[in-house]
Amino acid sequence: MAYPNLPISVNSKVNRMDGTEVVRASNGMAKPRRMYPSDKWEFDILHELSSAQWTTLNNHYLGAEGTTSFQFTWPTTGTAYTVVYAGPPNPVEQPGGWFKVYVKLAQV
Amino acid sequence: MRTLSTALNNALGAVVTRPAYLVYIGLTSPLRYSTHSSPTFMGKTWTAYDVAVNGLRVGALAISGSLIFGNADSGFSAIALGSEGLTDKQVKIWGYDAAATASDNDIVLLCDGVGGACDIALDRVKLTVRDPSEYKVGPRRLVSPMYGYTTNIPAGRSITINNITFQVMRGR
Repeated sequence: MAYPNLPISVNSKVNRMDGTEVVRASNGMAKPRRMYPSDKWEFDILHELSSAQWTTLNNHYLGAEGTTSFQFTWPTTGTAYTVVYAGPPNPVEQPGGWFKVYVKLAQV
Repeated sequence: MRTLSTALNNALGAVVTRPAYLVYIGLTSPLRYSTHSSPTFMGKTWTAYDVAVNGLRVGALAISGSLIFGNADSGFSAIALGSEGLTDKQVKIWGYDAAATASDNDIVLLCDGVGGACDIALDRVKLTVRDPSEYKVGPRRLVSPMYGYTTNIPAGRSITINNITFQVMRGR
């Protein structure tokens, strides 16, 4: 089941990797070597959720998707990625019954 | 002299290179791994796998270095501990660039050795690569007056040929 459709804060972050290693030649010229066949993405997602939304997200993690890959659409680009949880969602309770929830997803 | 293919030459001259290796391990069902994507080479598909070539040095009758296999899923340790093991199994390593894989000539043999010691950890398996001739006894026949050798080197003498040290031993 795909990642739940929940509001994602603009303060969320992505880390895009292609395995590039840059070494400098004896004359200073950059010699990049790209080790990955394709780019890989990691997402540090910040949610600001109601109690019900937090329950939805937590149930997603506690279900089958906690141990297998699933689809996640990054709203900035609308692109879907196959990802896994890189750790459990961490909730921080806010006044008024809201939750800030930090989620790490890693593209497989 | 080794001549590189035009495609490989062009790939190595690119601003951004994409170096990679193929690793063959001669089990009964051979393992064919690639450090990058899954190219076709010698009519076989080489599977993209978490393997790195570490400190490979190839000399005359001497190979040193190791292969480091990812073992996060304990898959490769199961192979290493399996009934066949990896010691003395043929290990061949080729180098290539991901931008030049169309022809077998684009892929260059770097090493033809055998598996040595295996160091297994939770997250990786390190397999030492050795030369096939290492630890072998030679020549394979006794040198004695019976075979026409009337002047022999004293037993215990060490002889170095091509940086390889041979120990002269008395036959049984």
